[in-house]
Amino acid sequence: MLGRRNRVRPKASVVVAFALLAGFLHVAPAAAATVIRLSWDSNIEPDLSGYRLRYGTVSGAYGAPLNVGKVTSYDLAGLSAGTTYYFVVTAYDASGNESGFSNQASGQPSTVVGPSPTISSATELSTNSPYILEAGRHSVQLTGTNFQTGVTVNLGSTISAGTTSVAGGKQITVTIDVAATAALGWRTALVTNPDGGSGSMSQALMVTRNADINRDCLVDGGDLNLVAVAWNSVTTDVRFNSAADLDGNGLIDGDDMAIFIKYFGKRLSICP
Amino acid sequence: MRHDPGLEVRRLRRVLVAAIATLLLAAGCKGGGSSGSDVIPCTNISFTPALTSPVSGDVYLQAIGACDHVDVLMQVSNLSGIWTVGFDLTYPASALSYQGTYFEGPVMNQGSPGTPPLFIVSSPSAGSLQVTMTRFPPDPSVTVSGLGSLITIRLNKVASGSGVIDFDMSSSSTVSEEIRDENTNLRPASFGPGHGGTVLVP
Repeated sequence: MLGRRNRVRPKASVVVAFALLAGFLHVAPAAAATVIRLSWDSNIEPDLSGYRLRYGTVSGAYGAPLNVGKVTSYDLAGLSAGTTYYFVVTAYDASGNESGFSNQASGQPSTVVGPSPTISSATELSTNSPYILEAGRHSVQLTGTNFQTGVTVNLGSTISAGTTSVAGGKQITVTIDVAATAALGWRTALVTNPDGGSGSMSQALMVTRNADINRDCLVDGGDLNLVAVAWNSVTTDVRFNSAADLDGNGLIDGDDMAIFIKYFGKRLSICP
Repeated sequence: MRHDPGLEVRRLRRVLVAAIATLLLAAGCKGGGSSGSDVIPCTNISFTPALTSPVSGDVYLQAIGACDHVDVLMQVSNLSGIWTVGFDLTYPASALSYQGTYFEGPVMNQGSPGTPPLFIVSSPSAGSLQVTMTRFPPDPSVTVSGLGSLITIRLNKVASGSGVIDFDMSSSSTVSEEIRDENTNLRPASFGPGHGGTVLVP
């Protein structure tokens, strides 16, 4: 029955064609809601006022009509997962005339999916910045919506994320381990809820070189000196210093300085 | 009786000096009363530097106190090769709070550099400041003959009290006190011990 469209000729010249789409991933308010999306062709009567939906779990037997208004699709929530439902729709006009039933459509809300998570920001907590050092353990916080307990975080290869802690569905705190072999540059953050819903954010966090450029376990004037000495140089310049190219893009510029500033005076968790 | 015109001039001078001093005191110590003409007497914050006779390479603190704030000047004495500077300092947070950078230079701005020098001041916690600054190529390092000011930090009065403002050269410090040239070499700068001073906030 899925996707099938039939036309009927009901009384009062109301014509309704009906189609059913089941298992639609719906953005519903409740994480555990079951949802099925119904849609039908529009009635062409000039005095059309709206549609009524009837449904039940036995073919041909429906419950009380549900006035869904003058729409051609409707998301019906609160159904039982794994149960087959049967649907018909009617149209009614301004005088109260109602069409006959449309064809019957059936389907199961086979997938139970909560609202998809979204990510609005990602922050490395020790510096309150998007920068994460190329190696070491860091605490990261993601903010967004619809995070479920047990959500997982993926930041790509060579970064492993531990068990997440979720606050209010809007904040994830997770410890990540960045391998020494992690490639420099921006990473996309992907979160996946236990129900399968997922969301991502590109350029969420950036893997950077260690801002302790001179490896004296401090991020201070000595490191600023190295960034400044190589300032505005590219890889082909004699002055270029790859260790000072903190974002690894082959140019020592304001982006590298921004990373340095975020780490200036901070005690690093790892002393090279 | 002989008329002494010099005496008259001296009297007049004294009167003028007293008048000017009164005006300056009034201008510097206006309180927060509802009327702009209100003058609340106050005593300026005082700072007694620990280092009174700086030698070449010394970096030390001086300060100019006012009623409600003190401007702390980082001074350097007779040093060449100044290109990047870094240090941190502590101050009594019970009496003072960091207000901001009051004046950058003039040492780092010597010679009208093509790229404006970068000044970074961070306040990781009350009572602590981390400072670093640098010039950029191709601007050369600078030389200070006599005394030069690196940066001036303003600290606002929060309460009466006293304490020491000084460079933090303890083992817990996360910023080295250092001056480097444009070839990354360390310059013979001395930040202490005892290059700060005692502040008294009345």
